[in-house]
Amino acid sequence: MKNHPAQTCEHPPLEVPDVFPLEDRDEALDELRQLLLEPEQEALRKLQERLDNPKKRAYDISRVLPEALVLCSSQNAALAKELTPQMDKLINASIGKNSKIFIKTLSRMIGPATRSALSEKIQGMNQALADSFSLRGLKWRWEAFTTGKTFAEVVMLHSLIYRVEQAFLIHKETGLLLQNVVAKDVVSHDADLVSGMLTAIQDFVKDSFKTSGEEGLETLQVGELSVWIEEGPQMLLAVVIRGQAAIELRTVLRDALESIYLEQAEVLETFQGDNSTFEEIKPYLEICLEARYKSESGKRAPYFWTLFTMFGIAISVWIFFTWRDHQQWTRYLDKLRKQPGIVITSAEKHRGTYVINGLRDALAPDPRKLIEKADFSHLKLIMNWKPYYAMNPAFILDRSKQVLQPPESIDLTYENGALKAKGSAPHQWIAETRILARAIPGVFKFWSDQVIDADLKQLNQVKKQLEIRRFYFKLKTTEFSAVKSNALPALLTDVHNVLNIAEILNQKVHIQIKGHTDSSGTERKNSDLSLKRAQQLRSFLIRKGVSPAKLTVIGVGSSEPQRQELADEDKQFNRRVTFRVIAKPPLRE
Amino acid sequence: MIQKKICLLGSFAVGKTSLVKRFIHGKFSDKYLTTIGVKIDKKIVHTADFTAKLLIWDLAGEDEFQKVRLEYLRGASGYLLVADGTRRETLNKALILKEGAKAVIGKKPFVLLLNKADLDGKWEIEPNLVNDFVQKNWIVMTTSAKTGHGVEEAFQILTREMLERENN
Repeated sequence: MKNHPAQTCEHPPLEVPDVFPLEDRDEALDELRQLLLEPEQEALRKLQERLDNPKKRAYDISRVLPEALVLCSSQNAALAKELTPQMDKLINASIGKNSKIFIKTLSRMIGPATRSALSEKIQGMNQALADSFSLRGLKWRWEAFTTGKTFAEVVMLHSLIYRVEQAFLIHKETGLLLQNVVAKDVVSHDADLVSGMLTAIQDFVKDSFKTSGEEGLETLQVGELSVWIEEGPQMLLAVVIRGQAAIELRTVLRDALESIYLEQAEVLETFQGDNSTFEEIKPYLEICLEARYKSESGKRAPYFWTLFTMFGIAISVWIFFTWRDHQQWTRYLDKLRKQPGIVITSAEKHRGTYVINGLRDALAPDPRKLIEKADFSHLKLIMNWKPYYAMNPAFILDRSKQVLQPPESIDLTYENGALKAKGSAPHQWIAETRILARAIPGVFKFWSDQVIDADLKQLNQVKKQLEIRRFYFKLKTTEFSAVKSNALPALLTDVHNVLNIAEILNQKVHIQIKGHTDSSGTERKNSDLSLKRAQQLRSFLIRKGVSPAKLTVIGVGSSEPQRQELADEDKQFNRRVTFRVIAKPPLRE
Repeated sequence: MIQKKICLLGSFAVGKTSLVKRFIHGKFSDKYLTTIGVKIDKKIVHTADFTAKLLIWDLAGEDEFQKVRLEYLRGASGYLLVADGTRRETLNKALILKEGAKAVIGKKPFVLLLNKADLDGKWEIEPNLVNDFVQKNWIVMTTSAKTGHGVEEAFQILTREMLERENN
């Protein structure tokens, strides 16, 4: 803007000549003022005009208002505080005057929000169920398997509290179907006919029971299905529900009816059977297709805890069995290690199989028999045993007994490498044992000096018996005097016994048959007679099968009297035959 | 598609249900007639000019045990008034029912059907009587549920009447 007043101040004061009349001067002054102040006046005039004109003022304010509001709200909360009550009043007034706009706006927001929330919930539940392998889940799977239903169906039947499966919007007066929606996977009948029949039933009930006013049938119950009917202005909303619906559903139905009415009131007023405009209100009906499941957020916990508990139990059981197995395994190894005749060289567990390697004396007990009941019976146990000779005294003694097979009359002991035998045993055993004993591992000496040779003892007995045997003869003859009838067979038995036992003992023996006479007669005659007497018994024995080689005879006459012949009675004791067993080398007593 | 509710009105045993059966293969069992007094069927009617969905309410005929439930007429755009041509009294009854219908739904298009046209020899309705109705601008047709004579046309004519009335 130009600064006119400043410019004028720089000029010298204007000299006005006094040649003009007064009125002319005023005029001139005005003219001058006009000339000088015209731009300012014009600006003032425009300003005044803007202030006086409400439209222009509104335009001006509108240009700065947003900025002003931003400034206000950023600096303090006073504006909001002042405006809130005013806004409340405005909204109240607006709803009171015309609630349609608000209902429309809100229902547009609520519909999609509810659907979205519901679908998320169902999806979440499906996921939870699909993932579940709880006892109940398994039970349901079994039920699905046995009944031929799909698993999803079984789950739905068990977990569904209720589900609105169909919704019919029906023109009240004509019974014509305005719109209907059906939940996914639900098989529906002809909606037009259902709608007509529902209206008919409604009319029938109203007429039959003469209910007051507009009240009609509200609920139909058929098995697990129920039909809820909500009446609105000129319309019926009927929903088919599976399960037990919550009473709040009524509110949902009423709200839907109201919203629909608000949108379609004009169409309904003049309804002539054309339901094409009701396509738009489908979302309101879809809101009614509600489903509630037992499985809500947080209900996943039981599944989780069931799983967790099962897992915990499984782990505990596993730990217990592993610990028990380990205990049994250790105990068993200890037992084996203490066992004489068993040496463990390695013991390990490999992929659930227990493997033991070691040495085992044949006389040691069977390792498998050492397993206690319920010890390793359920486990895989592999044992590899290499044979060996255990060197502890008990084992050496046992081994000796096994090898030598001593008769009961023999007592074997083992000490410091020496095996001692005590008692009596057949000659052959003693002879074999002397050879075998030293071959037994762990036996370095064998003492058998306390072993009596049972056969030799018997030989001495039968020898003694034979050698005390006497045969007496009559004077100057080879005829027996007063011999017992069994004397000859008894002689034969003694001879056989001596020869047999001597053979067992591997002794070279023969029996000397010696003939005697008394002192009467000549020496020469006596010698012949004594020989004959001996030969007579030899012949008898040979006749009875005794080998002649084992029998020698000798006649000694009267040179070896048994008694002094003081009287004749004494002579008969000297006329005799005696026997002697002669051995080379001589028999030991 | 435009939908219309129509009713079948008439005495007991005039052949209403048979007419509907001839026109359409019904879905609901006839027992509804004796239980709640109405049976509903649906048929889409096509003609060169229009297509409409008819919801046909077959009202149980009146007999000594059961009165026609006229409240079922409510919301109907038209009706078929059925009489048995071989029984004069059924025509009288139809006329009474027509008055009842008027009381419930007002003046609505209707077609008077004289059914059982196949039983020509037993016909009891004089032509001059029919002429009287025609004079009154009623639509009167003879039909036979047995042969199908006039059935399809009756429904079509009623539909046309209803639609024309609506457009006017």
